Order: sequence, then structure tokens, then C-alpha cells
Amino acid sequence: MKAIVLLYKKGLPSTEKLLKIYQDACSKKVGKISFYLIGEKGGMGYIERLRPILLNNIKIGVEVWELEDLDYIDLSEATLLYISSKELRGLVRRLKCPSSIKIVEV
Amino acid sequence: MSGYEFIITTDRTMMTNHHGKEFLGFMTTAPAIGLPEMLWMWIAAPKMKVDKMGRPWQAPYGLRKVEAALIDAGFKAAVIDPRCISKHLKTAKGIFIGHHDYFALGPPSSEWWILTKREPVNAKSFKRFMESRAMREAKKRGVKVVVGGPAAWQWLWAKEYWERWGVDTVVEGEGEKVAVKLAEAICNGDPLPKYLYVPPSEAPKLSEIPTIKLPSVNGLIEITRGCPRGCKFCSVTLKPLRHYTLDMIERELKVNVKYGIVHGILHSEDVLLYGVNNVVPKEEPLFKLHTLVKKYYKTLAWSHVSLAAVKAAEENGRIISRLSEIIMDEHQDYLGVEVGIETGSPKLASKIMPAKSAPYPIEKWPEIVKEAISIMHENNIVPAATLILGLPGETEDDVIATLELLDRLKPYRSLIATMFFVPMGAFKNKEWFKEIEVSDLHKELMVKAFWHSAYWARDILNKFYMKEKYYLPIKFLINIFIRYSMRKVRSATTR
Repeated sequence: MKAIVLLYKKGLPSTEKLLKIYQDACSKKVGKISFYLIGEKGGMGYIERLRPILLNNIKIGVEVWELEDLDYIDLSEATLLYISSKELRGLVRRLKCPSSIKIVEV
Repeated sequence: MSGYEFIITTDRTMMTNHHGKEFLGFMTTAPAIGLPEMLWMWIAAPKMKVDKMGRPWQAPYGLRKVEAALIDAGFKAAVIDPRCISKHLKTAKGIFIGHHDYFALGPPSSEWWILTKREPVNAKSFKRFMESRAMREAKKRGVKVVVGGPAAWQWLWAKEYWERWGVDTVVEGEGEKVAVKLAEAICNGDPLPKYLYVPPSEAPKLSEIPTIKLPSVNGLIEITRGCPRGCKFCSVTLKPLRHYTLDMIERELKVNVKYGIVHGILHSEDVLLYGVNNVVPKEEPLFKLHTLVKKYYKTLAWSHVSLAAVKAAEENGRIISRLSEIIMDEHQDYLGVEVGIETGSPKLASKIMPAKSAPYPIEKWPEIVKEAISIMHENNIVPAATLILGLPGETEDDVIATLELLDRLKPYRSLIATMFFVPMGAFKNKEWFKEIEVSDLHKELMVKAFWHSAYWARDILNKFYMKEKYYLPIKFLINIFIRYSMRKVRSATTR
């Protein structure tokens, strides 16, 4: 079981908000959390925001992806999908999410 | 000559056998002191012998594991010396890099930063490697760069280098399985994650850990992965405990011996716990292991043991004395090992490492340390011990307790190194090493540990270390370094 977090590189949520997402996913007993950062390549400011999660995570798998489009998002085994803004709703439609995935807007 | 599609490498301070003396490797964690840097590097990190393809005679064990995993999965992969990667750029698809201290943020490098305010040679050497023409050319050609190993966390504090050098993926956690997945993704042209953490639940099972195919630095071979003690400052404890079978160990011994390496190190967080799933050493697996190893290696060392296990082993059928009888022979008259004292305060120990003393109560920690080190002294086992200063919650009383413990350890042959606990948040500041304050009590402890180690270092050098004639120039330079350090410390403390 894994959780997917879709984020826009522009307008990234705060560290506090990202931590809440992470804690929520952990409380749902996922084995992995994948952060997908959508936007043009380059600029790694997101690492600073994610750092408290990456440094303190112990038990679950974590991935961070930088993608220009949605084609490579791996939905297999996903049970939770966190989206950070209304703009991403359209993207979710394009992703063709199976109904088994619970979408959480944060 | 056709090249490799996957290159596994690291910088010079790692791709070296330190003249066959692993302990000299600690010099790579410091800046050059009292000697020109070129000479310092020659002592600490002599260049490795390579073949025509640039494959090193010996390579770090972790790199050898990744190499074995990729070869077993059918990839054309090899560990290549950092000076020789340009030989393979036409064919290379990926470069996998490992290190135990990329930016010198881990102990004891961080301590050297704080004390000297100068960058240790390991970080300088790694930066030189990443800025080298070959690495720049590799990036131009679109070769993917994956970094990992025990210091992978340091990239989270080095975002600017991550971007500048075009590192594609940072991998944290055990690498054998994930290296294969990443190599497949690279070959398929799939995108790579920027960061990947392999949780303990996805760590390779014993049957999934490949054995090395080519020799490791100083014949080091792993016998156990993981540790049951759960100390708060250590990440190894998160890994599941897996003991290698004697068959796996023998395969790796044979590889090293085949390439002329007959001196080796057994690697485990606690060698004495080989073959058990608790904290009480058992003679049968230990005797079998050491008898097997001595069949292949003329001399052996232990990477780490816990002091509680030393005491428990000796009390449980004189296991230490009897192991000594197996180990010591015409080729070997001492055995080196790293041990963690960390503190002399039972109160602090109970907070940060409550299981470190098991099977004994943590309240007895100073006695356990003293007894274990005296047992080692009697058996010609030379411990290089660490003390951690500035642990969260440490009080003056705790430091005083450690000072008192050092007094009790005076008669026993040992090297004692102090290390600073640097909280992660400190690395936010680029000049973090200038900000860490050392209290007077910490200074007193450091000076005491220094004199203890300087006294015993000379004894060890005279009686045991580097007896062969070809070590004379290195021994001479080390003696200069010790004398220089003694003079410096003496003048600093009498000012």
C-alpha cells in the first residue's frame, strides 16, 4: 500500500503542511509515500521543505520524483492520493485514477 | 576494448587500502595536520593499483556488493577507479557512487572541522572528483549519476552540489536490490526518482544479498547486518538482523585470497553476537567462524564489538581468551577493533543507549567498560574507543562521570577518540563548524583522551603496528604527526 502526493513545484505547500500529509499517510499504515513534483526540471527548493520528513522518516519507503508531465506516475498499489490544490483536480482526471484510490485534498 | 555500461566508483580517499592498515583511513577524515596535504594523502589514501580497464585491485566492500548485484542481474558493471572512468564513458549509461562521508559531516570528520576550522581531505577529494573532467564529460554525455551509501543523508544538506553536479538520484538504505531497479530504469530510459529511501521492510533478505566477486579493501567481509541494541544515535539499529552463513563467508574469503589478500576484517556492528539473536555471545558459532577465517587469512581484525558482549563472552566459558587462542599465532600477536564507550555516565547512557549494556543493567555501565577493556588488554585486543560529547540532555555531571571513567582506563592499552554530537539542524548554516561551542569541561575531556591515546599509540606502534620494514617511512611520518600533536596540545593547555 502506498500514498501518492501530487504537488506543483510552483506554490509548494509549507513544511508543516507536508508533515501533516506525511503523518496522515503514516497513520493509514502505508508502506511507502511517493511525492511527485510537477513542473519544469531544475530548482530543488523542495528538498528544503521535504527535509524534515526525509531526515526523520525511518519505517516507510519514501520517493521524491520531479516530473514534467503525469505519464510516469505509478499508481499501482496506491490507496491514497493527496492533492495540494484545486488546480491539480484536472490533473487527477487525466491520471484516470481507479476508484479504489481515496483522494484527499489538502 | 569495450567498456562497461555501469560504473561503480568513489573518490580517492575511499578507493584506497590505506597501505593495508585500515586504521590509517581515519586520517582521511581530517585536514592535513603538521604535514603537507600531499604527504598526508600519501599516508592516508595511497592510490590503488588498477588493471588495464581501470578496475581497482581492492575496492570498498559496499561498492563490491552493488557490483555483484548488477552483474548477477545481467548488467555489464564494474567498480572502476576514479582516475579511470574516462575509459568507459563511451559505453557508460550510469555511474553509481558510494561514500561514507561525502561532505565530511559525519563523525569523526565533523569533529575535525570544529577543532581545526578546516575542511577534511575526504570532502575536498570528493569535490575534486565530482568536478573532474571525466565526471563533467559523463554528464555532458547524459550518463545518469546515482549516489548512495551510509552518508546519503548528507545530500539533503548539499542541495547546491546536488544541482550543480547533476546528481540524478540519491538513494538511502541498503542498495543491492534498488541498484538493479535503477539500472533497469536507466536502460529503459525511464525517469529516475530524485530521492529514494529503502525502508527496513524492503531491505534484502539474507538470500538476496549477493556475495562479492572481486576483492574488498583490506579483505573486509561482512558477517552480520543490523544490530539489536537500539541506541538512539545510530541508524544501523533500524536494519533487520541477518547473520551470513559460513558458506557465504567462505565464498567471500576465497575471493579475497584468490587476489592475494590474506589479512582481513570481519565486519559487524558486534562481531561477538555472530550467530545469535539476543545479546549473549555463543561459543559455537564464534569458534566456527574464527576457525574458518583463520584457514584463509593470516591475520584478522574485528570491525566492532560491544563492550557488554566482551564481558559476557569472557564470563560465559572464557570465550574471549579461547578466541584469542584461535586468532593469535605466528602471523598475529594483536587484534584491533572499534568499540563505543560514548559516555561514562549511567544516567545519560540509560537515556540514549539503554540496551548497550545488556545483558547487564545500564547502571553498571562504567564497570562494564572497565572490565571489558581490561579483558581486551589481557588478550592483546586493542580497542579504538569513541566518546560522544554534547549528546542531547548531557549535563556537567555526565561529563565528570566520563572524566572519572577515563582515569580508571589509564592502565589499559586503548585509543580513545572524542566525537561531537552535531545536531542535524546545525548544518543549515554553511559555516556550522564555526558555530559549535566547546565547553571547558569538554576541552578537559578531550585533552585527557588525547594524552591517553598518545601514550598508548606509541606503545602500539612500538610493539605491534607496522613491524614490516616497508612501513618504516609511514611509521616515521606517523611518529612526526604524534610528536607534533603532542607539542601543539601541550602548548595549547599550558597557555
